[in-house]
Amino acid sequence: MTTTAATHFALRDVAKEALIGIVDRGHRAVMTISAIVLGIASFTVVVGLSDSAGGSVSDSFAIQKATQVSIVDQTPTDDAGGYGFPADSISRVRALNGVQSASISWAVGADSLPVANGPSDAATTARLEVRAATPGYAATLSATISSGRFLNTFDELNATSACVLGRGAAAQLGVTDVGRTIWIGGAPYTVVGFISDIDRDPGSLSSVFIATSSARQRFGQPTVVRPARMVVRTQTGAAEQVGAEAPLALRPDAPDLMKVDAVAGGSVLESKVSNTLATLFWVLGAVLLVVAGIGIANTAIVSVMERRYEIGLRRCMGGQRRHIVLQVVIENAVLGGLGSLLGGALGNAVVLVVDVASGWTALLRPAVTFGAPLAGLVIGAAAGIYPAILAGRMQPVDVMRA
Amino acid sequence: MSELIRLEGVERVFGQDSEVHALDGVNLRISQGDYVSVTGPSGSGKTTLLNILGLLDLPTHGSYLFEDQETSSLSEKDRTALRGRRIGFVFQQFHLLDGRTATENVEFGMLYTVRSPAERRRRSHDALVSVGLEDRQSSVTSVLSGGERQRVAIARALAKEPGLILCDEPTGSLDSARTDQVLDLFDDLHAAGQTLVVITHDPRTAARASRSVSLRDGHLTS
Repeated sequence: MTTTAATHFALRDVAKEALIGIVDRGHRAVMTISAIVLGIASFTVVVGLSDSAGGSVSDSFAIQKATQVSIVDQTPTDDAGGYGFPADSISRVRALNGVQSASISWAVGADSLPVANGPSDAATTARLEVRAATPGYAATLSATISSGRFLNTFDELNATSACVLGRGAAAQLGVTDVGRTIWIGGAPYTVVGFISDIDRDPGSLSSVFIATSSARQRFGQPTVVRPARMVVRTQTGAAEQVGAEAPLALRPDAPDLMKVDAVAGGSVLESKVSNTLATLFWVLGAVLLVVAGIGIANTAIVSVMERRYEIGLRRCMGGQRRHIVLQVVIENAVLGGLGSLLGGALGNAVVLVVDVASGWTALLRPAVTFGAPLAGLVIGAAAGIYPAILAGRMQPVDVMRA
Repeated sequence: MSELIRLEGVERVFGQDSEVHALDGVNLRISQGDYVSVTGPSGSGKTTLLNILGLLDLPTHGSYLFEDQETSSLSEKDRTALRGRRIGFVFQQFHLLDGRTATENVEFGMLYTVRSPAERRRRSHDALVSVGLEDRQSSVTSVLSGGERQRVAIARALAKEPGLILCDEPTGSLDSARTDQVLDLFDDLHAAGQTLVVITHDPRTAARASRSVSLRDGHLTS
């Protein structure tokens, strides 16, 4: 008589046993869920903040692209340099529809210049970039004047010896007061103001600014290496049109000399910044998920060891290895799913709070928001495989020894 | 009565460098409806014999036929299935799932062998009635007395309608009064034709069986 008809473990029974197993060991379930809550929440947060921060970076670039035009003077020069912008360049460009402000600037000299905070050898001297700039520079590049003033029309018309220090330059020279005299390339200049920030050109915060007329008079014309550049601030969406019209308005005789270079390299830089951020956060998120998976696996192993008599009893009752493996995997998958639901909700809440606090536009990926429970399910199941195999290897004879 | 179990020349050897013969040339025949007690001092091989009879372990040498089927040729999967369907276990420590009711514990014993939940419920009810626990079916087993818990364990073994019920020191954790209740129950099961093999240290428990065998140093004596 053969009585080895196959045993079975119906899906309904698997689900019921898994749920009972979870409820019976509530403390272990809480520990396992905590691991996946933290993992999924952290993953959601890093991905969400990555997207929001990336979006913010893109917005910044998009705003600049839409409202800023840069025009480079390409007038052929001899060794002494040259200057192709007409004297009334600013007013010509401002006459174009959509232009809000404009300024011309360039880096003076072939390289940085020695700038000292006193006339004697004992004075502090630093090699700094000296920028020639027209009065509209501060408004066009969104510079913040922390004290004093920026160069004005009087300085431009009279080639005065006024200068303005960027925050970095002031720190290097140790100059904090308006009215101090500094020496640029040996020539005395009076500090009339300080700049604490330049939204659209933060790299120039270490520069010293002087009037373009003064620069040309004392240090010569712009060079091919460091040409004069006009920056035009436009109304939103007018940049492209202004960029098309400006060369002709400036040099109707030779518009080709005025090269329009709207936010040079912006899209490449934007893409690079966004991609770097995204890669960093995704790697961080992946690491957190792996850590969560290891946490689940550790808890599951401890849980399996605690249940060795129950597992042995199941084997005594006819439970096959595969039934034990299936139950442990499903228990961990359910815990992973529950944990990831909670973790996803928590993570999205954190992303929203941080975005609101930072003034960023909240960007939540549907794939992450709705995929988190699935991810938790998969991570839970995957993390449960090794403990399940351990459980499946347990022998029913262990129960007899208890 | 037809033969249920036949052991012929069964040996179980543990260890490789220094071999220990837990069972040595054991021959045993048990017919359907027998009530057999197995006694012997500690280390005599009682538990090893129970593991082999319960298909939890394999003999190193010899033959074990259960219901005319040679068990040593079965795969682990088939041995597990045979054990699940035809052998019920009663343990000294009961091994009940404490968070579950008596009914749920008895149903648990049929989880892998009886597909229909309704059938499991019916059998569970009948088994608990037969062990005198009809009014404790919904009680969580952790609140039951030791005797009641052992009767739930017997009901769990009984509900799967096994060919053999193997009991390992079934009265070892019970006081005298509750021991009598359990032994009376075994008498009833025996009278109903159930095959029972009881491994015990307790002479009183052994004396209630219709046949007694003894183990000493792995050798069986009648």
